[in-house]
Amino acid sequence: MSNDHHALEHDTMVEELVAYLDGELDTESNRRVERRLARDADYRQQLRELQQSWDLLDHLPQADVDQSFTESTIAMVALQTSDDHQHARSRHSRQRRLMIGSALACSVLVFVAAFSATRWWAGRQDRKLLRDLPVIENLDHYRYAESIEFLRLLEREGLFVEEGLDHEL
Amino acid sequence: MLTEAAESRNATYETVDPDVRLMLQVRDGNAAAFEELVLRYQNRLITVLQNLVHNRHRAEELAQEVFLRVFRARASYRPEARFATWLFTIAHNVASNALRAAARQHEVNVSADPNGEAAAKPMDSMAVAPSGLMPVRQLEKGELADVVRQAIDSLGERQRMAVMLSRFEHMSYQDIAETMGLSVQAVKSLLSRARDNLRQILEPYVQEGTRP
Repeated sequence: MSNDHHALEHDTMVEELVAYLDGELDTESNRRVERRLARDADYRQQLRELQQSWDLLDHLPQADVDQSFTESTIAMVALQTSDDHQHARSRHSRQRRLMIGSALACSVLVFVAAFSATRWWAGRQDRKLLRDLPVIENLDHYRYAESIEFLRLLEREGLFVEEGLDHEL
Repeated sequence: MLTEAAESRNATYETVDPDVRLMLQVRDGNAAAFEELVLRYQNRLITVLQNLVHNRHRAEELAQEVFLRVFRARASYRPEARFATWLFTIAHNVASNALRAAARQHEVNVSADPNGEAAAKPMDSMAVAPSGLMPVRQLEKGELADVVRQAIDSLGERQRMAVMLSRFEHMSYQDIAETMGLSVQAVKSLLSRARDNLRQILEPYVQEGTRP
């Protein structure tokens, strides 16, 4: 518990000192830090250590590239964006071809569907006549039947089997 | 469709930031303006990237990737932040992707190692060295640079990025937050922990007065 409290206090202090060094504190917090720095040697030591280790980062490598890097960057960007345009154009062209192909395929499909529908519609009367042909052929015989019950009786006895009239009845 | 507030903010960045004006010229098709931006930012970008990926050649490749992304984004560019903030946001994304890819590659290499052991970072042992075992001789300038680089390497990726932006770009917490997609408070904590870690690692060398 005490260790946790100590760690939290340490973290708060470091956060405050780092923000102070970075100029990120508001006026009141800034004054508070400066008052404590004036009276607390340990606090001052912490600040000094943070600043010294921060200053050591000056030893990290810093880039100083020459003109050739700039030129190669510009050339690379020009080349890549030219490739981008080329790809975009070829993608656009592929899309156009695909659209034209799809439109053609759709037209053919619509034509085939319309043709089939028309044929089906036109053949409707013929199919009805064809379906009713056995009845038409035997129409004279049926006239002699007095009722439907009589015809059903004949059907049960198998009279129409060969004539294919069972479905029609 | 921009709101009035957004338009006013964009106009502000355009007024105060000359690099935003250059980027707007790039948007309008001015290639010379792009070259000027490359000239202004190439060293700054490579410095930050080099300290993130620890490899000069890789840093240059990544910097070119950043400039390429900038150029590709020109048509949709809107000055909604300082130019440097926008540029380093792209750089942060590019570097994060590169580091993740490198980490995956490292995992593959480590699992391919028949001993199955990854080499420990030298700084790991330095960081826990008791104060009685401080370096006793003066460090050469190159050696000190190496010590500082290893100290930076021991930080997490986000701490490192925040440190680079703060130290080399002198960015405010607000700008770092925008660049890294974090809150200002998160940046404050991140930098505080990073600098405390650096202090703990580097303090022995400072105490010994070994700075050249």
